[in-house]
Amino acid sequence: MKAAWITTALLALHSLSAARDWTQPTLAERAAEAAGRSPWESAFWIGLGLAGTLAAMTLLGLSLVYAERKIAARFQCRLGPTRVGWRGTLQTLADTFKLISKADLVPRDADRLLFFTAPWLVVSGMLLALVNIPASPLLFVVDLNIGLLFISAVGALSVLGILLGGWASNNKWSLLGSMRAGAQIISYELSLTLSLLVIVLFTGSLSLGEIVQSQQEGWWLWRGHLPAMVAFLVFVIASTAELNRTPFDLAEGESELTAGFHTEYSGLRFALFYLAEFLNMFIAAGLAATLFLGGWMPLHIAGLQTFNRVMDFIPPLVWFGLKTGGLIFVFMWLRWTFPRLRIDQLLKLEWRFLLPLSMVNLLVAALVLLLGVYGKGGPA
Amino acid sequence: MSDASSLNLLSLLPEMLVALAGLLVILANAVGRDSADGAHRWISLLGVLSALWFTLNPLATGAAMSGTAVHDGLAMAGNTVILAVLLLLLLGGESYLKSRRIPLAEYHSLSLFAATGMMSLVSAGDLVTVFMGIEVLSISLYCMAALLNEEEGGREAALKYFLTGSFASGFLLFGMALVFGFTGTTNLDAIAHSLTSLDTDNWMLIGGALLMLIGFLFKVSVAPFHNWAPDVYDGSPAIVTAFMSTAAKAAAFTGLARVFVPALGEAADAWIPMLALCAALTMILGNFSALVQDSFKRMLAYSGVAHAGYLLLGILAASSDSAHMASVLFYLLPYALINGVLFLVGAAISRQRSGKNLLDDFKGLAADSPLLAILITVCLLALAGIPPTAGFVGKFYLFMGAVDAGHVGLACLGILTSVVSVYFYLRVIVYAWFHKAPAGSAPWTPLDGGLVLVTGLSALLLLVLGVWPNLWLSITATI
Amino acid sequence: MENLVFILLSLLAVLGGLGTVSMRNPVHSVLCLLLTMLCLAGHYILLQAPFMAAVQIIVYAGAIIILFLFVIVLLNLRDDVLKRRTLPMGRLYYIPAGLAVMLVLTGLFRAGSNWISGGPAPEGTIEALGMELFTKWVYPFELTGVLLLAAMVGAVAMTRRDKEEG
Repeated sequence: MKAAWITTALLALHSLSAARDWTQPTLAERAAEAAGRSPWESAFWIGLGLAGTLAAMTLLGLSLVYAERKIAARFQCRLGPTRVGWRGTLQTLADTFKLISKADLVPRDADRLLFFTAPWLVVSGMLLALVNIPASPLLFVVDLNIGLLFISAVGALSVLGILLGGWASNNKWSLLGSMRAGAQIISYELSLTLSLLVIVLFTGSLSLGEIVQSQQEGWWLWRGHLPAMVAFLVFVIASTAELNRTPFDLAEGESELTAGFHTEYSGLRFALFYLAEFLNMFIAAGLAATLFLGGWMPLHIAGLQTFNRVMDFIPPLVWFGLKTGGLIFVFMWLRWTFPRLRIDQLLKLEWRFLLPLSMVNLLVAALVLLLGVYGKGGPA
Repeated sequence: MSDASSLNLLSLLPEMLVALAGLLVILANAVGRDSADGAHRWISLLGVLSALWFTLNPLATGAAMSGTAVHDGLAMAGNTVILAVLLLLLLGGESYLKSRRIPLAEYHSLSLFAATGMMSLVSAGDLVTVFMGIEVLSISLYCMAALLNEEEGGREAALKYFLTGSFASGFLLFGMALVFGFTGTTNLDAIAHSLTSLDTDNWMLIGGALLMLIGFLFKVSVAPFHNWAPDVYDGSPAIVTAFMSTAAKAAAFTGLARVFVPALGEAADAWIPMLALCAALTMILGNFSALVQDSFKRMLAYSGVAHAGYLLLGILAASSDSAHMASVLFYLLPYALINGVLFLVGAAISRQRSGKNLLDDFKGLAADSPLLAILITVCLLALAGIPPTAGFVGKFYLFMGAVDAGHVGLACLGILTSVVSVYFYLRVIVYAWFHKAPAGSAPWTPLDGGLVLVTGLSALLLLVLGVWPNLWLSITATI
Repeated sequence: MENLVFILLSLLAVLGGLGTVSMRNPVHSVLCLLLTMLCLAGHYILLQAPFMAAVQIIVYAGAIIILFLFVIVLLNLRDDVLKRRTLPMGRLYYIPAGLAVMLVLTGLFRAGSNWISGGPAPEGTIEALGMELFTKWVYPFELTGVLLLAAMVGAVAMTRRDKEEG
């Protein structure tokens, strides 16, 4: 019975995404369509896309918070939320309503304007990053030709939001937390970007759509030999640090700083920071899936025709969800397994280990590319 | 010669050698730690000497790197001056570095990087290279000015230098953008070429040229943009002052000449009045301010400002006939050598007396060390432009050039202010020979041999060039 | 539409610039500067140079402005310090700055038809930029390497010594 349900659901999803032919034509069609629009029309579509992303963001945020609570509970031999809704699924929704209805406190000496702007800066940076990630051949808002650069550019907005939020609160803990967060994020940004560059080197493109296309014959994680694997590892570590998650959560180490940069935030604005934290994790996981694990491309194993056919049958959206979900699970796993690092360990890890490693790695990747020892499908 | 599109890497050999030496100094420091102190100096010496060799005996000349660099006579002469100063400081500055506990690896690598920037400025074939060269040399010098921490003034000088320098860079860049907007190219040859066919009476071009000029005048400390120079020269370590007041100024002057004389020569009507005005103001302000200084370092700083005015006369002359470029280049060498030596020797002498770089510290020098007194006298006389030194020949060419170009008034002003300048140079000489050392001053200890050696060599060179100017003129005149 | 966006961006950029110099609180100044930088990035997009736009945001918003904020926040200037005006000599520099702006403005208004003869950005900007940068402009590009290295050596030299003394 269950199997039948699952099959039907898969079929429905599959026909919805209509992506049997997910290669070039779709992208080209969309580009042609976009080119034919009047500016006002495209503004409308962009607006629609942003609104859709906003809605998806809320849903994603809710389910990610739920997932974290459940997984954390599992790791700690607890049950997690069970009461509201089926197996506690509505718990986060209820919590959100609670947060929104709470009194909205603003410290007396806070810089009010910046205090109010900061959470929105963080959220808008995240929203702008989210629109780039292709969840399926059809399900994305834009495919910028500078997609990857764009994502790291708007990431800067989040850092600014954090710094300003901490400063505007006019509270020493907030300030310290935001300084730590800012320093940590801009340090780890280096090795993060260097690891992304490895894939850019292999594909010769910054567009996420094209990067996924380039993995039709195999994911970069396998096809890129050692450099891609090292880059993947560096990416996972560095993005954990960028997300300020344990073991790198010094910015909000509760034993030292109460809650870091959002100590003074309450109600909706606190919810926004919280949402941003989880969605940034989704973006990091989605980016890793897109760059290293083929995005929405199905898993193919050379030579196994039947297996590949079956894999093709699973819709791209599911593939993307599975890969991203798996990576999100890894992030949560890390969080509930490792203890927090000290600040000197954190800095040493980046400047003495990850940064040199990713620099050498980039060089090796360039060598691999020059010598042509990786699989087919590189830049022409 | 080679065509503009080729790389012509060999012509860049001097720059590359100097930069390589800078890298090696850093590496030596990283590998050898504290035991590498002597190595820094030897690596730098090796780099500078080999660069000097390949500058004077180039393996290749002409345009290089798609026309972004040009190695012609101007570049050769400029590079020679820069490398000569570097060599002088390397040979004569060791004891100063040791006594003030300046971090050796940082000092040597930064000075080599600064020299790389200067050399690329001198041989720039493109506005982009001009700007990059200026930035490399400026950033290195800002850092070098801050190397001395003992005195509070060090940091203040570095900050002042940094602020005014960045300000000047802004002007320069703004002007370059306008010139690029008007001509559509940043290549100096192409700019000169396009100006022959365009109407040069255009506000965009004039604005661009003037903004660039302001930027350059800041860098070479010409009045009214000279205010930073005395403070910065006074507050920086003497060896860094010796470097920035000579090599950096030589490089900036060569760069100025390169951008304005050939490239913007067609638009000369736009910038000549301003240049002439600044030259006059500089000669007056520089010399009269130097008159009233009690500090040797500040006196030299103002004399440097005044000399920038004399050198501007050469640029003015070159704008009407580019053969006069040779007189600017000719004067740069004696000027750079004298100032390099005087800043170092002044610091060494002052260290034995008040330690405050006062003019009074020179009192009684002849009694303590007649040789040093003679050498300093030669240097100061050369700076004042008294025959038979190279300083006289240099000034003579500069003023003659100005007269040739029709700036008779300016040339007269130059001669008159030179007469004024004799007073404050002679004051030092009089102190050294006819005054007694103040009572209670510590007994004289001989100066470091290297320093005396370079002072002697410089004084000798000044006399030789004063009698046979063609030795150096033949190189500078090959443009 | 394009003109509208251009005018809007330019207005915001100028406003940001004015805010940068007129705000009393340095953090607000820095934010106004950020506004100007973001608007410039918008201008790059209008000029069909998305790569430059992204780099503009990464470099300015992502690095420079954040470092500014770090320093200002660390200094933690109090109100009494902020109320103190700058030295009277400092104002002298307004004169050349004002002259420069006037020159540029009059230049732009009077320049006539050939005021931008550089032509539009080449197609496929990233590839074109890369090719240009590593062929024609490789020498200035390498010089930036020396520049950054010198700055790094200087920064290390200045900070390391303080540590030894303290």
